[in-house]
Amino acid sequence: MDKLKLLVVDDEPGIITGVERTLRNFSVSYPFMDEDIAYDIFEAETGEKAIEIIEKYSIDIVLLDNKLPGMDGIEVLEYIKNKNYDVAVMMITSYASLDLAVKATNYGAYNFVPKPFTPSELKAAVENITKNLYLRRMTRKMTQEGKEIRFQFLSILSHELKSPINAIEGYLRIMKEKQAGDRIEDYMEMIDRSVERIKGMRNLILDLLDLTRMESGSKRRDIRSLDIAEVARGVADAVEPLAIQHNIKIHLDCDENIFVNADKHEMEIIINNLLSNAVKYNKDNGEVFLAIKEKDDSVLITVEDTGIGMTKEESELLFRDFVRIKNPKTKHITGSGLGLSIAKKMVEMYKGTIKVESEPDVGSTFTVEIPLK
Amino acid sequence: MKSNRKILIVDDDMDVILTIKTILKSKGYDVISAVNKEEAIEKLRKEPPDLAILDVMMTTPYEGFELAEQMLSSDEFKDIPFLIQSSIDILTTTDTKSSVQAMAREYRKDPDFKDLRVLLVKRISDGSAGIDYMDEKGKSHWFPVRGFIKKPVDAQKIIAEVEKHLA
Ligand SMILES: Nc1ncnc2c1ncn2[C@@H]1O[C@H](COP(=O)(O)OP(=O)(O)O)[C@@H](O)[C@H]1O
Repeated sequence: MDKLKLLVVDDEPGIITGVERTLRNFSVSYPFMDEDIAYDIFEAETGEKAIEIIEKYSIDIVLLDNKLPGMDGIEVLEYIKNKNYDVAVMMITSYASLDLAVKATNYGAYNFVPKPFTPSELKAAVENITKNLYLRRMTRKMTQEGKEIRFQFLSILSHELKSPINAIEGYLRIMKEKQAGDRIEDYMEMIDRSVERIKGMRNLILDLLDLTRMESGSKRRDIRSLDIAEVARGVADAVEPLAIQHNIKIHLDCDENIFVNADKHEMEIIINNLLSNAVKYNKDNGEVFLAIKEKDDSVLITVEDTGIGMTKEESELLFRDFVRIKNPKTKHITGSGLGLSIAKKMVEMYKGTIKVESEPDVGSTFTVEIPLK
Repeated sequence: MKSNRKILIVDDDMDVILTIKTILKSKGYDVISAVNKEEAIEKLRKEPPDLAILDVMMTTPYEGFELAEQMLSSDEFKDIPFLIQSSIDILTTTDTKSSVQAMAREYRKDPDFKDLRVLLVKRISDGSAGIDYMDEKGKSHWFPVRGFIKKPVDAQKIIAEVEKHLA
């Protein structure tokens, strides 16, 4: 049970005890709240005392009478607003003029409950204000977390962009100063590596475009019924040149006439990321098997390779942004570390799942399952 | 210049490897490389180098340090000198009476240094040096090193440092 601190400010002792009695065993629940919310009740007879308690105990909810001996309720409200406290205020008052109501609303009062009120009126009002406060705090928290994730993403991204630039700059400096000899041949490896790093940067930018288009939802998705085998064949053709370079054979085993309602470009990105990894992280003369099958109202896309594989710990990380596995076998392979995280996000847009099974030096199998309905 | 001396570079950054390799090869050294501790141990065993250059952060944050400590404590590798490559600033001392380890302990008493994970300490007069670091579990380590190479890589400095230890 969660507890909120609720302060009743009224100079009539009867009201205070009434509120106290009504709310003592009262709690509020919301389907998506982990716990019910109950109340710790505080009391104050004057505005001055109210402010003291609010500041001392960080009160969450205030039930505030306007007519008080010293400072008015509305002045307390104004004080809370100026201090920017995260407090929800409900005015309870018998002489509510429109003028006062407008003023109170301007100062951020959540609502107005006329006195006298019945216990059930009070409960309903407290329930409302509690839910409003809860949602307001949740929204703020989620926005904040979103900002932190974005910040983290951007700092890794800038590192990923800076690192090839630094490397190439370093190579150019060595060449400029002819640190490794006078002939261009002395620098061939550096030149090749620079070209490779530029290629990697270009791919990173392309991956980023996929990602931002997807996340901003700015790209118009063109959802239609697709023959998924046909999409797979198209992707396999596109990956073929890379496979030929390493004498890797791509085998296709596709059931015909499986139709998925999807955006063609998105399906291509998913299959392409898996298939090009199966080639990239393979061994020379290796094999890749791409299968499309229907199973229990889902389509299964499996991509199996005879490549370098990975350990269990490694396979747990790889769907995250920018994760790349570094070892002697992958050291010459460039990549952004975004391909699989993009694939996963896209698969999830279709309420699907993506899994990997792998064994070092034997190979990996990636399985995508997308519900057909 | 001594030629055909063999140097092992251990770094997970291919570009650092290629840069150092190119510089050292132009001076006539044989250069081999490894991208992590495991591969490094394999190379140390199969093609024992005359000198190793170790990066600190590889797959794990202190992998280079772990490798260094492992080398120092193994009969097989304890005679292979190594340099530590790092972008962390090196603390120098001019004290000639106490050991560098004692100097590191002094630094640890200073509020500016006491919470740092890693201290690289070097005595100017005789070049003796060592590393005091706290691992991920909060355990303190100390081990002596031959020298440091400051990142980013600078051709002149790296050649000078390497030649000093292979002289
Ligand atoms: N088929 C595969 N076999 C072995 N390792 C793989 C395979 N696919 C992906 N990986 C590993 O997962 C990491 C993340 O993949 P990905 O997100 O596509 O990024 P990238 O290929 O651009 O590095 C790769 O760096 C690689 O280490």
